[in-house]
Amino acid sequence: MKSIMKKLMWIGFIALAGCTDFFEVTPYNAVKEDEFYKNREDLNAAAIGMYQSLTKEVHKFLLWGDARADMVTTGQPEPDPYVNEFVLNNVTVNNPHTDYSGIYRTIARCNRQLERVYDVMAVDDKILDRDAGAFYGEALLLRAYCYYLLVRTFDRFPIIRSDYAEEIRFVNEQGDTVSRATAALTVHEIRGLYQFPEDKQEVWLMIYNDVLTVLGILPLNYQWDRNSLPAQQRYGRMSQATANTFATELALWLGEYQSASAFANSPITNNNHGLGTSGNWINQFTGSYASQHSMFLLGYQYEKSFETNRLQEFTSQVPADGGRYHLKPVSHVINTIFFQEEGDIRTSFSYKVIGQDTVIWKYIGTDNVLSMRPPYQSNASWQLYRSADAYLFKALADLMLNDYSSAFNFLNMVREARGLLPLLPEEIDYTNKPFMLAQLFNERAREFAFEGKRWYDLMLWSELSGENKLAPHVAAKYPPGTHERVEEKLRFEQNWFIPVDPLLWK
Amino acid sequence: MDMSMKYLYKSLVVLASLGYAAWPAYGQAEQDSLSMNALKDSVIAATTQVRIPVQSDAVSFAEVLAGNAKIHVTESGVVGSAPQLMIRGIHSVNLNVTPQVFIDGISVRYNRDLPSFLSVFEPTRFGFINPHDIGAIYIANGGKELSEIGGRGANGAIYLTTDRGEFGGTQIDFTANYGLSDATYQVSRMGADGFKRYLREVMEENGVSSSELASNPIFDPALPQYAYQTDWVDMITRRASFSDYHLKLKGGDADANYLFSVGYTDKEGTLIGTDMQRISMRFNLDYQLSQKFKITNNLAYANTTAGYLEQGSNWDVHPIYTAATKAPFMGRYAYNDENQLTDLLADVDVLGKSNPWALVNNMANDNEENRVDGSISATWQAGERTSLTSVMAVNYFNLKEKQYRPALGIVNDRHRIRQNAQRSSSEFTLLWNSHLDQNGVLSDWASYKGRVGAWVELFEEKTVYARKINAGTDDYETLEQGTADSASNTKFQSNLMRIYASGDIRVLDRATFSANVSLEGSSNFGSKGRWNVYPGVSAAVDLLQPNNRHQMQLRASWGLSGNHDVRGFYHYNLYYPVGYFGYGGAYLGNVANTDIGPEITNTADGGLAVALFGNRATVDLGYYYKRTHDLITSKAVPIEIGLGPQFENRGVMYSHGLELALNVNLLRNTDRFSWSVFGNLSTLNTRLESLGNGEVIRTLGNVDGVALAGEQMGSFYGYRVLGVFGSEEDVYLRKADGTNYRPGDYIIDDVNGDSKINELDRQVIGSALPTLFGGFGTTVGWGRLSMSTQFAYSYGQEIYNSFNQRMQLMSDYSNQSPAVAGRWKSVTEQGDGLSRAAFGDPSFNGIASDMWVEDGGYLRLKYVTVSYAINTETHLRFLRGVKLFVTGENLLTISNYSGMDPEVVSYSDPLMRGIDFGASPLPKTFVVGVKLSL
Repeated sequence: MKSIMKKLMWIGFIALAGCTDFFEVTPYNAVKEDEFYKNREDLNAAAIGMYQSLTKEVHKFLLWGDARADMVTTGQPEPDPYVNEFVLNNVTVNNPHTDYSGIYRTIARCNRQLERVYDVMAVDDKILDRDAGAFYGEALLLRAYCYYLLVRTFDRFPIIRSDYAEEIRFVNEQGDTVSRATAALTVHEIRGLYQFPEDKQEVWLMIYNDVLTVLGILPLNYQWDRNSLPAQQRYGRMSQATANTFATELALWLGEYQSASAFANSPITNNNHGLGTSGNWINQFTGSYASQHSMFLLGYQYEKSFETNRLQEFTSQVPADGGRYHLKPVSHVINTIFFQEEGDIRTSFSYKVIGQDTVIWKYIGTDNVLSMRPPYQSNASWQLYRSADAYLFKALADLMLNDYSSAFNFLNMVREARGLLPLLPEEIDYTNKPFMLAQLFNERAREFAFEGKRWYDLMLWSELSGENKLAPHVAAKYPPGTHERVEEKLRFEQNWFIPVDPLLWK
Repeated sequence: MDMSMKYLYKSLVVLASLGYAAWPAYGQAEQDSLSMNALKDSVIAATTQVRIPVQSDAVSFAEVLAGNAKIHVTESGVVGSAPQLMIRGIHSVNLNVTPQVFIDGISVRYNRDLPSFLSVFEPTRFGFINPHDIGAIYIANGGKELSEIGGRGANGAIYLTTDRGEFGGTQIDFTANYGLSDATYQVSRMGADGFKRYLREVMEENGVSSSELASNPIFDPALPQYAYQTDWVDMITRRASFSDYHLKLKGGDADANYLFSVGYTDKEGTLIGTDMQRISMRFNLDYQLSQKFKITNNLAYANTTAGYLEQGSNWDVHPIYTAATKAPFMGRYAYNDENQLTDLLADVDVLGKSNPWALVNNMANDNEENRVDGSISATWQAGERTSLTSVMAVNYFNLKEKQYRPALGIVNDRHRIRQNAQRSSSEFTLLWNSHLDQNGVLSDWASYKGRVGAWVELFEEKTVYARKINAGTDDYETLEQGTADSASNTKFQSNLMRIYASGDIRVLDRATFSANVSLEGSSNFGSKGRWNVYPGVSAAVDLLQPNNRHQMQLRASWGLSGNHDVRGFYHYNLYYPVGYFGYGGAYLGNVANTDIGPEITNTADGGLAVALFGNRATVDLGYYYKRTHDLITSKAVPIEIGLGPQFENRGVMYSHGLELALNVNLLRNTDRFSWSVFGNLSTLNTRLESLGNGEVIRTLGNVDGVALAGEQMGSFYGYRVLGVFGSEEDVYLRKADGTNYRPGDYIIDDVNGDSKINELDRQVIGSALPTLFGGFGTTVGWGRLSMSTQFAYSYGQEIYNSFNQRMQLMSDYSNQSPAVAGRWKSVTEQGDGLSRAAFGDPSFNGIASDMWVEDGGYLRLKYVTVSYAINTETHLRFLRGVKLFVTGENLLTISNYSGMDPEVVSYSDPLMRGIDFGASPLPKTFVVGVKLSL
């Protein structure tokens, strides 16, 4: 008892004498700033954190890129209102699925990473220039991809290129650069300091420039954890191959077809990427990834920590599995895009007819027969780029450069790799550019069905062909009446974008 | 102490905050009983004792508070759960809002911070104090007295002191009680045949073809498994027993006084599978080492175990809900493929319902709590008027919570077929409090009392949680088998330091002026928000001469208190852990708010106390106004900044009310007959004044609770139903996506007039907090026989009857209330106000709406006790005393509420009050007992 008394007195004394220590309690389940961004491991953890916020958003990518487009409709007899707004192309600002905060979270985390990489390098001398370039390039590329998602989906959004979490720097009316604490500003003051782009072109060029920067500093096959490059990190994080494929697509949008064709060479000749075979094509959906096929995806490790997305909820028709909204293929699309030729692995796997219903199979199937993911185990990867992207972008670029034979060859390479017979030059009009564009975009539709790409492909197709391909294609999924109304609406490009009221979301 | 004169209540003191100094006769007795306890804080002296029934089936002190002045109590029939307590309103939106409890000076939070282990069940944290060991209870609500506990005072405080030894030979008291409880589980629902008819109709209405219906085995009259008439609710409920034994040894001489007690309590719930046991021990010792030196020791240990079941929003495993909605035409045991009855428990049925028997008999949630409290206090009488006291206390508490959910007869929880979960949590408090006291005379006309002191407290809370799922069989009730589903642990530490000074000046023996100031530092905040000053002042003036037969006293008090229970360390930049693709990551989730500090509450109150005919009748009328500013709320940062909402001090709320208490001794000072009546009444209005960061909404089940500027705290947020669309032509509203509602859907009040129903059309549809509450009762003594009653009442609160809504939802194959006969069936049969029956509820007819908000007012007879003291002078002379007791609890309830019980405990969160999920109602209980004194 005496010793306890003594101890207690001592504690009391220390407490009174050294108030500071007494009150400095270290949080247990979070890391303080003083202890973070100190070494390479911290940088790596912050990098992992950048991707995490996007993993929660992939069902929105399905809504934005596919539910609105011509290949997806609802399977619910009385559909959920907010999901159905996408199916009906009637999206309102109250729709919670218009909330783009997840993308800006990733942008913010990338911005912080970009501003810290070289500070960390200064305190951890094991970080070499090459390492710093890898972490910097990764953040820059991921941020560019986020803006790429935004620029194609939303009409108006601010460009944030520095870390605004603690303070915002801006040029005031006197022309001086000042900075103010973010916490001290109201929502409206902060929004008043945003820079909105003059036009879309400005955003496209910003993204393109960032990606070109990355091409110079992101090492090939960089080993993030220094010893090896596990598949989760090879495909789940940014890579040189992804940067090139991304650059290819951007160049196509910007009309720089020569550059596009050149950028595509790198991923196509890269030994780690290829078209694979029709036999192992499904692995990229039934497993988390498939070597050769996969390039950049958002992955979920269910076994380790129950990481999941909501794709099962949006596509499964089985309520007991957690299926709720049953977004399903449009039947006429099945007939026009898939059912033309025998032997295509994509036709037999991308969707299934179960009983009287059709379902999108990519996110719920675990084999090519009828096995499904267990209830609530929604851990299918969300594909952002696959190797096939590079081949079909290359074909598009060469077609736009009037290199018809190259475009034709790349198209055939994809067809053969999926179990189809090659098209014969004498049987199709492969020098007919509009026809070949249609062929290539149909091929993309088959290859990337329900991967959130169709709407943007229709936009790109319109860009490349110079005529509105989006309106007639999308309108085709509606019954007469709605058909005409939607087509009329989508004749105007400004209606291709989703309205968003950022003040509604937190 | 002549217990027989205090036969029913430990104390008759009732008036709120009557100045003890102003009425020496009144205050002195109180002070004496307290001076035994050197642990007491000075606040104790100024608070009022509470009536504690001598006999009840209560396992914790909170259950016996109902009907007392200064406190509002809501108690459910769920054994082992914590009743909800409220002292002068609710004074936070995002922090803890329960009163702070001090047990012999050691602080214990009334509700824990951890989330509930099972939906909404919040175990009582005070089972460890055997009610037989309680000496006195004081409720502190005044401005000045709450300022003395500073950052923990915003929601009021309860001071408990345990019984202590007394001068004299050893006294032994043995108490034994036995009781039986019956609860009324009145759930209106269809019988077997009625439900079968309904099921067929609803399937038809939902487009099931007649050929499918014809081939559905449920409707095959030849199958015995669908021909039962089972009363599932009756099957899972019971008459519950209560037994309680307590032995107390007390004694003392000039040097040492001691108390030793040991008790055992076993209480069953009226729902099979729910129960609670307690073993408690206490040893309190006081010894006078010398004339100038006194030491006080307390040591207590308690072990409590409890079994409980889902009684909240998780309908899938809610036994009462499942029993109410399961087809009565099915039976408890399974049939084999040849349609023969087996003795195996029936599995989940074809309609998707669990077997209620499996839920109460096989599924288990068990808690085991161990608690040790120890304290030592030393007082050195340094001079005639000066003393130095130092207290050290340690208290350790461990709670093991276990959940076992087997597969047989119980629906899967998503992909989890079976689950075993365990959580172990512990709390540790180390406290050191020292103070120097001095009193003296300033001049002929004034005397003073003063105290300066320092208080240091270290608190640590730890939790480890793990859940494994899908073990191979139902046999393993452990974490040995299965795959790991989740595991986590937390730790929270908080250090507190307080330096305080307080004093009273008594002037002309007529007026007392008191002041207090306390400087408090908490590790929950950064350097800017850490130190806070909590001052308080009070005055009490006697208006009449001290020797007057009638007395009248005017009093007023003001003080600052606060709520420092902010646990997020928001004064730092914080990086939170996340995972991606199996790798661990981190992100900046909190940007340092160096200014963050406690919520601050101003309390001002005043009143007039009148005592007539030498305290024969006392009346006290008071008014209080309480305003809290710097509420912790979260500021939404524009989403493009990429941060979640950030916490800051912004927001104001207030409450005010009148408090009236009276006590009349109609007859006394007669040997044979005495009679007194008492009563109290409080009004309450708790509102949000401003919320700079907008409304705060939290959801429990399907019900939103909202904190909205200008509105009552505890408001329900939902939609107003205007009727049902009769036909296609009547439909004038659209769902959020622009598609039309269907005939048979509810017509929702379109608040913003855009013809579209979405979140913007929500409005306040009720409030869960009472506007008027209190209690009254009477005590009658006639020779050796005595009787006392206590009523409690509460009015103005509303209840969201979620259970009733489920009984009329018609969205699945649940048995329903017979009222669903009045549903919309077709254009020609439009029913009497209920929606259509639609599987999956595609039109959201099950949203929270005013249809299910009901008046929750009630008046309840909490206790009626009759006791008889056997004359041991003529018989049984080896005994000092024998008393027999009979108590009836909750025998009468007057209420318009349609649910099982108007006392609804949903969750302690301030925004989630008053939602009725159909938990066990408070039973009617009869307890018989005997107390032997040796």
